[in-house]
Amino acid sequence: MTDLLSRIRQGDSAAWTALTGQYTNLLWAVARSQRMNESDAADAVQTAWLRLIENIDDIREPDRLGSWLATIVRRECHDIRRRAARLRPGGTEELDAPGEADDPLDSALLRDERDAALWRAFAGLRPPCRRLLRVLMADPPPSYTEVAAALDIAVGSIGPTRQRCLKCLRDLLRASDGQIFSERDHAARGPAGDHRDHAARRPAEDHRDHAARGPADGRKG
Amino acid sequence: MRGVDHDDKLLADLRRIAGSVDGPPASVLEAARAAFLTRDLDAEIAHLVADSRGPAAFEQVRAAPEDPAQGHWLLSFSGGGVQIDLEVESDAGALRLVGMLSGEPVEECALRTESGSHPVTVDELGRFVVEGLAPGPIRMFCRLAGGRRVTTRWIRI
Repeated sequence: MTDLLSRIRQGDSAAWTALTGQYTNLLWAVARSQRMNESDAADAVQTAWLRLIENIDDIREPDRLGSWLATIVRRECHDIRRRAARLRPGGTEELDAPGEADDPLDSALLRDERDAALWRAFAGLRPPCRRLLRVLMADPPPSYTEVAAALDIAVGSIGPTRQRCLKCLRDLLRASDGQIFSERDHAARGPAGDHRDHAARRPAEDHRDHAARGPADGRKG
Repeated sequence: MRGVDHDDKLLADLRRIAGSVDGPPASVLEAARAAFLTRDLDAEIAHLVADSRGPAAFEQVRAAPEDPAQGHWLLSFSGGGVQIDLEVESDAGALRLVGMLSGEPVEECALRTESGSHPVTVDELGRFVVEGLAPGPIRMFCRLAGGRRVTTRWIRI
């Protein structure tokens, strides 16, 4: 990373291309985890790149570059939401403002029925889980330090929350499996809504004992 | 440990699916690559010195404080011998910048957006207006009478 940065500072555009290739997917995941629609997500990501290029000579900790970029995207997303709330008279800044990306149709793009069910189950998770898992889905997988920066949460909380959220996801998936096989013809009616009801009925406390066992995952940021 | 492997597998499946239905569009990757071209090694930077919707507000987002400058967004940049004050106004979906340039004499200015460069006509008192802007990152760029170049940092309006 240090080498890549020094090449960029010397004007090597191939090094810049390599860097954007490495992090754009993560930055996109961060913006989408904040429920930005495609155009706002694109703006937030681009702002981070513009900020980096103008500060390229001042980056002191190359190893924290991913966290630095992720933090900018998170703040930009807050900023975009804040501004959108201002432009709507009487608007609020709640995280699930109407008109934002939920993308239930995305699952229609998936030919594989299991993938579609998994993606719908993911969309049915509560917002904190959806945010965390969306960032963890970045490719290449982000370090926990980067995830912490992306979501403004403690590094130590990531492992346990990840475990709990994936358990919730499996529960939703099991519920949808039942639906697929017993009520196949009802699936077209919009199963995502049903999943959300399911999530709402299932208090997070159910999983707390599970999470309290601590991070079985030894990954460090 | 089996549970952990199981979790990794599930997350890998999600990562694969996200890659196919919610990856960054090609235009986002292209714009990221093109950002390199905005690098201007010679221009001096005018830094943001005042923002009525200040950066501190980032961290107060959840508290949603009442903004005394609501509707009047004022930005000031300073550096390279000039000061640039901008007021951002929203006008029927588009944005309008009403600006004031002070300091050293300026030969010409332009407003850079992601879609290109808009010439800015500065009157003898240093005032200028740019209308019909779409929300997004902008930066103001000026050539001073002495030949030096100054650019503001990117700011998203």
